[in-house]
This record gives sequence, structure tokens and C-alpha cells, in this order.
Amino acid sequence: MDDPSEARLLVRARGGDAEAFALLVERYWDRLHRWLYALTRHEQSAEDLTQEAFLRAWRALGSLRAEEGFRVWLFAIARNCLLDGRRGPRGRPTASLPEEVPAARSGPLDEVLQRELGEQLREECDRLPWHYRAALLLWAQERMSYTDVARALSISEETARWRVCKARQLLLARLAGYLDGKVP
Amino acid sequence: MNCPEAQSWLLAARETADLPAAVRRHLRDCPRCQRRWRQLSCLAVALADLPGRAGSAAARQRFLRGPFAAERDRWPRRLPGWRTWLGVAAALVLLTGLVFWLLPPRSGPSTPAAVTGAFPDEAALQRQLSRNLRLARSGEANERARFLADTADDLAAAALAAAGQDMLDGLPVLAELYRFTVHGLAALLRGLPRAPREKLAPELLARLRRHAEEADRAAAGRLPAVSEQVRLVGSAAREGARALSAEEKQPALPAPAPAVGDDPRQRLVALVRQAVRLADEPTPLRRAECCVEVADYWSQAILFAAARGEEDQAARLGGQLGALLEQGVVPNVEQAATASDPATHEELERLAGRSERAATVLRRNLEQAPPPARRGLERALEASARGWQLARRPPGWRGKDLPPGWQKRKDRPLPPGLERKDGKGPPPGKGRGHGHGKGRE
Repeated sequence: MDDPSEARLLVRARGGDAEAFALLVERYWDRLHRWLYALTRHEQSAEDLTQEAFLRAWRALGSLRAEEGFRVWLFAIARNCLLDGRRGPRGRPTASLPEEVPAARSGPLDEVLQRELGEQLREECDRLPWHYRAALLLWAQERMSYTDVARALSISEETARWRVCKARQLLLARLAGYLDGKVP
Repeated sequence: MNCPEAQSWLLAARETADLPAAVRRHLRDCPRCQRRWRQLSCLAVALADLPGRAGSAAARQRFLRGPFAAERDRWPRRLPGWRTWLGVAAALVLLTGLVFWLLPPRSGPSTPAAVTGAFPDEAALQRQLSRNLRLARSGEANERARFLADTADDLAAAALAAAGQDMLDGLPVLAELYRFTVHGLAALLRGLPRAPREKLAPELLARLRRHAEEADRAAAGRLPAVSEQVRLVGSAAREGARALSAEEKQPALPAPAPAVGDDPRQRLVALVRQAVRLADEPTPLRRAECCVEVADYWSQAILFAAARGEEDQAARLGGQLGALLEQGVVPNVEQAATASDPATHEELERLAGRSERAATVLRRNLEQAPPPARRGLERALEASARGWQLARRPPGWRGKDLPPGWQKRKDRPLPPGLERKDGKGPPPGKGRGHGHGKGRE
């Protein structure tokens, strides 16, 4: 565990300090919700799963081993919640309302390109198989190592690496035009 | 280093520093790879900055004030300070030492493996599967009773561990499986002749009493819903202990049915159901049937894992399926086929058909699988290939003496993707027999 303040919070939380756990909730709520939303594309499901993951984490804090990172452990719990609730690949809910799209306005070229790339990228990410997306977002947004991605998703490191590479390869094939436009 | 090699490294790397020196050298001189690397770097930045839907502060506050506050108030987890724990630990060490010093050494059943975290994990499932495969081949009732008692030990330990972590969600299944196992154990013991029964009963009684006492202790001070489930384990242990000594036959319990899927708990249900049935089943034909049922269930689990793109899991399940066929189905079919009555051969034919259907389902799914699921299915079929081969023609069988169902299928090819590289498929009937596995692809 790299962050000493997080280590202290964890020690307190494991001792039953709810305030310390609330601080961990504050720290990870948005990140976990963002990931779960990217996997479910459903606001209510993502919120329910985030809640469930934190509740399970609180109940099972005693089983968190000292050498395990809280973040990876928490994402692993969230992944289990997702699978248990069949809200992932097998029971995916209907898509929610579209994301708010910023109004088109004139601006510098790279700002427009950036916005277009973002929109395209989100669409293409949604088209990826969910298990590719799960691994890719942990790697790219959470900046997890392949080892941590593997632990969070209960897969081997080799599979984690393969899924991330495959996802990047697919995105690259679909977005090469946009990426070339943005490459200086 | 050529471009395809370099680009596979580029796909996996986050920064230039992650690349091996040879790839960096190639990158310096290759404009094509330089362009690819710029695209990938740009993609990584865009992904990191991708606007997502972060959870709202209001939702977080709702959680902290609602479900979390309720949970926290229900379960104050404030524990004593480290000095208190140190004192308690020291006292426990002394007490344990004293107890071991006072008690004479004894040999008995091995202590069940500790179960921590979510149960069942893959190791626990593998342990139960190995036990079932030994049950499938065991002719000794004493041995079968001990295997079943080991299953009860594991289930009791898992239930108590789950209770210790307030994991209510897994407890009802564990309590039900424990009761079913203990009931099966009592029925098995009652069916034994008097002498072996009297020899075995004290050991089993001691194990059940220990479960009951541990369950009573674990139930104390828990959430009522948790205590209730743990007490079910305790009462099942007592009920089982009474049934062990009772002369009259107890009414049979309905067997728990696993839901379709690859959920670990449901796989455990399938295995425990199989264990109880195998322990009480002296007929090889019925034991083979029981193993074919589980193999059928495992085939479906493979499809679920492959559909999620979980290659390793699909491959692991494939390996287990192969073991079920090879060590559970085949030896019992061999035994059963020595019978000369047409009814047994008809039953064998039916079993062979069922086993073949499971293989066909996997093959058909592989043929039509989308790329993410394909690899998992391929690996599962590869891992179970030897089992399918042996199930098509059990080792030891020759020509017309083969069981009817197996005779028909001896020339069928392996599933697609598992043929020999020369495209000819496995040589039918060659390189096989008596477990040498020469025909294995």
C-alpha cells in the first residue's frame, strides 16, 4: 500500500472506525462509480453497485490482508457485485438516457478535435466487449498495473495484458483517423 | 526486431520506459512504428481524460447517512486496543500449549482446510471435485463414509467462517448443503453391516458433535439472521448424530438442485449433490450416470465462462470436465459393461448419448462463437480432449465387446480446433488405451 494516509485510514477502519471508512468512501466513490457506470451504462445500477461494493467492503474489512491494496480489493468486490447481480454481460439493463453532450461551439481546432475524439472514443468503448472494457479502464483510468488488473478481475496477469492489448488494438483500428488528426 | 513484434510491445506499454531496449531502438528508426506509438499515446491520454459519469456527492451522502449508517449502527466494530489483543493472544497461546500438553496424541481425520474470504473459492471446489472422483471409484463403504464426512467438515468450516465475517449471503446454501450431506452420511452408515458400522460410528459422531459445538459458539453474538443460519448447521449436526445411532430409516431429503450457470456456489451445490449420491451408490452404472450429469452441468458452466471471455476460467472448467469424464465416467462404464444383461447395455447407450450431446453442444458453440468467447471454448475443449477421447472408447475395450454407445462413436473426430495439425484428426482407436494418452492432441 503506497499511500501512508490511506494505510492509516485502513487500520482505523479495520478497528471499527466508521469515520475512517467514510473517508475511504469519499476517496473512492467517484472512481468506482465511474468504472461501474462505464460497464453498466445505467446510472441507477452503477449507484446501487457502488453502494453494495462499499457495504461488502465494510463487512469484510477484516479479511483484507495487509499486503493487499484497498483499491484493488475494492474493485474486485465491485466486479463480484456486478457479476452476482447479473447486471453485467448477461443481464444488462436497457441503456440510460444519453450523456449530456456539450453544445457545439466554435473554438480552436484542437479543442474541436479533442471533443470529437472524446465522443467517438466513448462510443467505441461502449462497443467493446465488457470484459475488455473493464480491463482497459482499470489500466488506463485507474492506472493499475497488469498485476493489479488481474487481481481486481480475478484473471491471470497474462489474460489481463491480452485484454488490454486487444481493447487498444480495436480502438486504434476504429479511431485511427481521429487519432491521426490529433497527433501533432 | 520487425514491426509486428515491436507493435505487440507497443500495445502493452504505457510509456516508452516500459519498452525493452530492442523495441526502443526499432522505434527510433521506424517511422511506421513511431506513428503507431504516437496514436497509442494519444489514445491513452484520451482514455484517461474521457469524461465519465462520476458518482454524485449527493448519492455518496445518501449512502453514508442511509445504508452505511444503518450497517455501522447495527454492527459496532470498534475492537479493543492492541494491548488487549496482545494479552488475549498470549493467554490463548498458553492455553493451547497447556491443552496439547495435557491431551494424549491421537490420530484422526485431518483438519479441514481453513476457509477464508468468499466461499467457495476455486481451490475449495477443486478439492471437492477430487474427493468426488475418488468417491466415484471407491468400492469401500468405510472409505466413502469418510469422504462424505470430509465434505461435511469443509461445509461446516465454511459456514462458520462465513458467519465470522457476517457473510449472510452464502450461509443458507452452506447450511442446506451441510444438512443434506450429514443426512446422506447417516443413511450410508445405516446401510453398513453391523461390525464396520460400529467401528466407524464413534469417529463420525465425534466429528458431528464438534460441528454442533462450534456452530453454537459461532452463533453467539451475531446478527439474528446469521445466528439462525449457523444454528441450522448445529441442529443438522445433532440431527445427524442422532440418526447415526438410530435403527429406523429416516425419510430422504430432497436433493438441492444447482441453478444453471457457472456461479461457484451453484457448482458447489452440483458437487455436493454428486458426492452424496456417489457415496450411497454401489452400482457402477448409476455412478457413471451421476458423473455424466455433473459433466453435463460442467459443459454449461464452460459456456457461461467462455461467453464472458474468461478464458482461464473456461480452461480450468474444461480440465475439470476432462477429469470427470476420465476418472468418473470411464472407469464406471468399463465396470458396468461387463454385465451381460441387455437392460444395462441399453442404459449405457443412453448415457453415451447424453455424454455425446454435451460434447456436441460445446462443439456447436465453438463453431459459432464470437471471437471473445472462442478462445475460452477452444481451451476448455483442449483441456477436456483426453476425457472425450476416453469416453468415446474406454481403455481396455476391444472390438465388439465395446459398450454399444461407445462402439458407434469410435471414429468420430475431435471437436473443431483440436484436430491434428495435418488436418486428419486423431487416428481412431490408435495410440490410446490404458491411460497412455498417446492420442492426446
